[in-house]
Amino acid sequence: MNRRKLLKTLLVLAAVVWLALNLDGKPGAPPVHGEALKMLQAFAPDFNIKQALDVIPLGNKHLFVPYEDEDGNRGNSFMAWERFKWRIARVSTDTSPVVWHSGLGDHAKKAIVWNLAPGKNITELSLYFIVERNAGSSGNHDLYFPRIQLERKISPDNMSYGVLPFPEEWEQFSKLPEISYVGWIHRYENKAADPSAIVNSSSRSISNGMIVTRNIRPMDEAELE
Amino acid sequence: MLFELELPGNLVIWLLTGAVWLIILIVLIRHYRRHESKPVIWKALVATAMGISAIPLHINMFGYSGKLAVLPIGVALIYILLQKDSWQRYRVFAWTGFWSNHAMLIVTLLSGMLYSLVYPKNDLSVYLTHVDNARLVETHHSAPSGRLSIEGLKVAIDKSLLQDSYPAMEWYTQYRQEGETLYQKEKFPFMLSGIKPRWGSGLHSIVFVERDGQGLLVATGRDYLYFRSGEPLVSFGGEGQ
Repeated sequence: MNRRKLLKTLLVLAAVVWLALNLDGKPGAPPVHGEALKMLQAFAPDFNIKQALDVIPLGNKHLFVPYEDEDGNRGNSFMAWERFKWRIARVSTDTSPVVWHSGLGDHAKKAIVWNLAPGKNITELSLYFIVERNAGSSGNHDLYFPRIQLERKISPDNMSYGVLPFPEEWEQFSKLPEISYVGWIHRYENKAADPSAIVNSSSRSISNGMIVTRNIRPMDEAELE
Repeated sequence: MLFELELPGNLVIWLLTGAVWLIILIVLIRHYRRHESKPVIWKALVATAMGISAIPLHINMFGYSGKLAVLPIGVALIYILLQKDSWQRYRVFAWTGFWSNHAMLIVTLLSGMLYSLVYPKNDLSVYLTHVDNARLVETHHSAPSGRLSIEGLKVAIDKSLLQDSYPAMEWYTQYRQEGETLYQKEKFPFMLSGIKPRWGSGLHSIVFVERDGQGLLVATGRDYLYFRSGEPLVSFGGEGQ
């Protein structure tokens, strides 16, 4: 074999290996509840999962599967389409709302997901987008950036679990260097509830790194204006 | 890349960069034609590309920061790698690559000045195009209910004056102290939506509206500019503020 041929063979081989590692195929139909439940039980046998509450698509390649275990506790799980199959990406007993990202880049799609335990008299779930007020001066330039406080109330029908696509008007502030965060408060009888009442403090999770989520901040009524 | 500048991509810089690349290309073609022993084209291009890499020195000029290529690492590498006669043949391309760094640096510094001519900072129309679709959006719940007047906004764009200085710290502290006019309120509780910065400016600016309806605060991430017009551009439903 001459050198040119060897080079070509190597190139083709490299291409095949690259394809084999990166090709995922076109996402198929999401698993139905029963299938999803079986996948969850096989993936995390000691989580005692009793029921997959729903299978909600996030973008093209991810699913949000809120579940309930045998003691009635809630948990979040995610699936990702990878290598021609739906696979479980994460199972967690932590039910705090989180922001799901479709990828790592700035242009990733985002959505907020939650799955709150029922029966705690929670009457209201509010999600907040906050940009801190900022003021100062450098040289002879003054600087003032107003506080942004935007609220999304989750309707009582969707309060148990749900998905909110990341609001566009929240997104536009991310291009500026200002500090911003997403927070949440749940209330009962118009009072803020203690987050620990519904959030599992000693949470367990199994993850294989196929999903990107960011935690959002449990807020206090006093942090609002 | 060596000649990056901490300014978002904009029309001015794209045009100037394109022009410089064109000049570099012309220089390369002239070098190529003048050579007696015709170099291989792709090798000449690789030599140019390698010549670009250099150890930079950070500099600040006219309020912009850039990098000055000092040590021609790429050229040195080519000198080491190539045999003597090849080096003679390709060195002019490597050096062209190295000097193109400086051409780019000059262009980026120049673009900063040219940019402020095309997109003057103190001109509200740079931040506000598509005005007919403008909407008022509350960004803080303390916003009084008001309606945007498109006509008022157009007048404001023409007549508003950029304030050289403003009491930013005072505004900041007023919201904290009970009894102050802004206690738990925001001085700029609205933003304009549906508008766009001028084409090619590369800006991602946000325009806030003051609660008295007569001031605009433009945040570009780099500047925080306060404009004041004599005329109100928001009409408040009878009850005032």
